[in-house]
Amino acid sequence: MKRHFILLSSVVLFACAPTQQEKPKPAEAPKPPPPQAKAEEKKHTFEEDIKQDEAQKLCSNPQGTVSADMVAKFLEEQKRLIKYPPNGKLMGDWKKGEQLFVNTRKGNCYACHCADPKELACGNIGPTLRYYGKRQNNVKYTYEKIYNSWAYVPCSIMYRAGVHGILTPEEIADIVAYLHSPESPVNK
Amino acid sequence: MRRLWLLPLLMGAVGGIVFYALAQQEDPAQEVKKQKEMLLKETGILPGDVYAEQGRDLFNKPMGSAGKSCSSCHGQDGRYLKGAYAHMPRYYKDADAVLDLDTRIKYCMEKYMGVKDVKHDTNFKSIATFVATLSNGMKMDVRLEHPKEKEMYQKGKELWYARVGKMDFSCAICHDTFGGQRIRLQTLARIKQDKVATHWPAYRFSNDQLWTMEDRIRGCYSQIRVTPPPHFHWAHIALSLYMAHEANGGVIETPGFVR
Repeated sequence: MKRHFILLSSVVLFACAPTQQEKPKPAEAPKPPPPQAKAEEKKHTFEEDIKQDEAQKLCSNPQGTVSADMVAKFLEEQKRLIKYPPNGKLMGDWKKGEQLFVNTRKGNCYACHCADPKELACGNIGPTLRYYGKRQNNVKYTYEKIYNSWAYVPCSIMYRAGVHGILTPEEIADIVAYLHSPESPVNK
Repeated sequence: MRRLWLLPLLMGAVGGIVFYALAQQEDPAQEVKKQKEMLLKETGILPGDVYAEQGRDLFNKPMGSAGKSCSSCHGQDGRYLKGAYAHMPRYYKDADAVLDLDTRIKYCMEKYMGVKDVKHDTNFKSIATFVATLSNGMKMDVRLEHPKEKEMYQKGKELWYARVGKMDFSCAICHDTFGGQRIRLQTLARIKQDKVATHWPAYRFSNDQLWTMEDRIRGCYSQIRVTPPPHFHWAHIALSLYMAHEANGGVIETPGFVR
């Protein structure tokens, strides 16, 4: 009787749990697929992936930055890595920019920044971008900061999306438009 | 296997609660507390403790070609392993190497029990969790005495601060510099203040899985788009040693209960 009750209650509980996949008991559980496994990452090894470029090496210390006498040279070298869209337009399509902004494999900006007030699950590591376009920010600065944040703040936590090819110059221009355009929900 | 009949019930309950929590979008710190209380109220036991109980059974069960169980050497229910985890990772003379919890268990299973092809599966993690619970209530006390321990600690420290990969992240940038702040709604653990090593292995209610520190390290690397080191890799031992040393003085409380 007791056992029947347990079986029945677990069935009922499963029915209430649409986000949960049924798993066999751990006693005979096959190994669940590692949540980390991503097809595209399989091509590399850990050793290959932790090889650092010169700038990363300079930033790898408990202070989390470069020494004062190195700053000017560091910023200058990082600035040289920035490439611009062939058409020269630093502001693209804000609607495309919005998609890139939220895409976790692209901008993933909400991980650290708040922006559109409708998005509540936003991080607080970076400053809020609400009304960014109304704050007299320079378009070229915005573009360069997204392309390579280390050209402005050595060793910033903000990843160098353009340098690493996570975002193309055109895609960055779209995000710039999303931040600056008066029509964008960021500024409304 | 005394409490195993509880598992299907537990999993259903967890699923329901996770769904409820996602729908509510509560404050993350409160969420953990609430989840724990609700699970305890509904089932009387946390899933991590069920895994640890299962680990106890497996610990006492002979496996491998030598016909031995873990308890053949370490005593019934691991009574000679009390406090062992408080000093781990550490140097082991028989292996002539520094080993973390996972690697030590694998070494024992292969060398002394004759188990072939040890997998980092739920059974394995349950044993690891059980061994860790034998040090509950004790203070983390990792010493860097042997030269190989010092060397491994240094490697761990270097990895900790190394800015790597497409996202230029290091462990430190999230868990020192910005520790305590949020990525999305997830609060970042702080390596020193939170003494993180004291509550791993842990049960994660967000994906309903038991994770050892090796799984946690793999998860972190994956999130920063770096191919994670395979299980039992030196990087796990090095980083675990660094983190355990940072957690010295913290009271061990495993299995942890985390998001």
